[in-house]
Amino acid sequence: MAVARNDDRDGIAALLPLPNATFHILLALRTGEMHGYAIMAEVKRLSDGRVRLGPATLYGAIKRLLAGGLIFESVERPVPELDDERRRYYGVTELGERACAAEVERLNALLSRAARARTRPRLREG
Amino acid sequence: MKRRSVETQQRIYRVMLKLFPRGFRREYGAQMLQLFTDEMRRAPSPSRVWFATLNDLARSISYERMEDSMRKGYLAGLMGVIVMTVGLVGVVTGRRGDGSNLAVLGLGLMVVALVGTAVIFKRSADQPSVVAAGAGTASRPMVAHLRWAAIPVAIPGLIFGFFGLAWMSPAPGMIGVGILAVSALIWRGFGGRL
Repeated sequence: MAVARNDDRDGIAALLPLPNATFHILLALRTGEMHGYAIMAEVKRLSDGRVRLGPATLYGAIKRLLAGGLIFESVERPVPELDDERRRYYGVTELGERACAAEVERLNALLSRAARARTRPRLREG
Repeated sequence: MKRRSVETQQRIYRVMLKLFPRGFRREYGAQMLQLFTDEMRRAPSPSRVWFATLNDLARSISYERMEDSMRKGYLAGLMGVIVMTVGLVGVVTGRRGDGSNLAVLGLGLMVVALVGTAVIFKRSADQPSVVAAGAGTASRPMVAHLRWAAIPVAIPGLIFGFFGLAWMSPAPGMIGVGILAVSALIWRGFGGRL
């Protein structure tokens, strides 16, 4: 089982490939600190509605991301008029940022490999 | 949606939350209920939300329960107790009769069980991140949980293997090795690491 390490690049490599929900949550939190419903909405928006995280999936992933040190629970609150004290806000840590960037890099490399494989001419029989 | 109707749906969802491990529920139950309520208030029809919610719960409950059991070391403890018992039977049987080999093997098994369980407990206490192993059950197939079936399959394999070695008899030994091989295949087949 991969262990998240806070100090080395290898720790991030061991986390890859990031699971779908994890990657989407990190992508959503890159835009700023958010509460659960906002994360859910942002993930839906980012994926053009293809990825819909339910409450259990979302908080299960949040629990593991917190344990792995990829996100943190924010102590800062919005202005009282906009705040709902029952909500908790989350943000991405530096480790989370690096993991997300590494996953983007990995997917880019995969896509370019896929594109090259597609354009390679086929050998004709005979 | 009408307020009264939302309250009824909330009550049902709250009951369903009881299926999650207590620690998870205590930490995130209120947030999950809040999220569910937000969804319900914005959704055009409750049936659509319920369909997604049931799907979400079905995938998450088993995963959270399994993770909770693993963290608490229940499975490791159970396995340790079983292997220790087999070892103890070997020691007692060996000391009663002439089977000094049996007693030594029994003692060996007990040591292995003790050390193995202690290592697993230690690793559980260190709380390794499971981010790479499947944070977000949305991406983790339910079938992956079936790999745990390898553990009950392995136990008779260990018992057969133990008696095969103890009696220096190839038949139970071979059966034990065969069962252990099947167990390893189940583990690997459902995504476990050896």
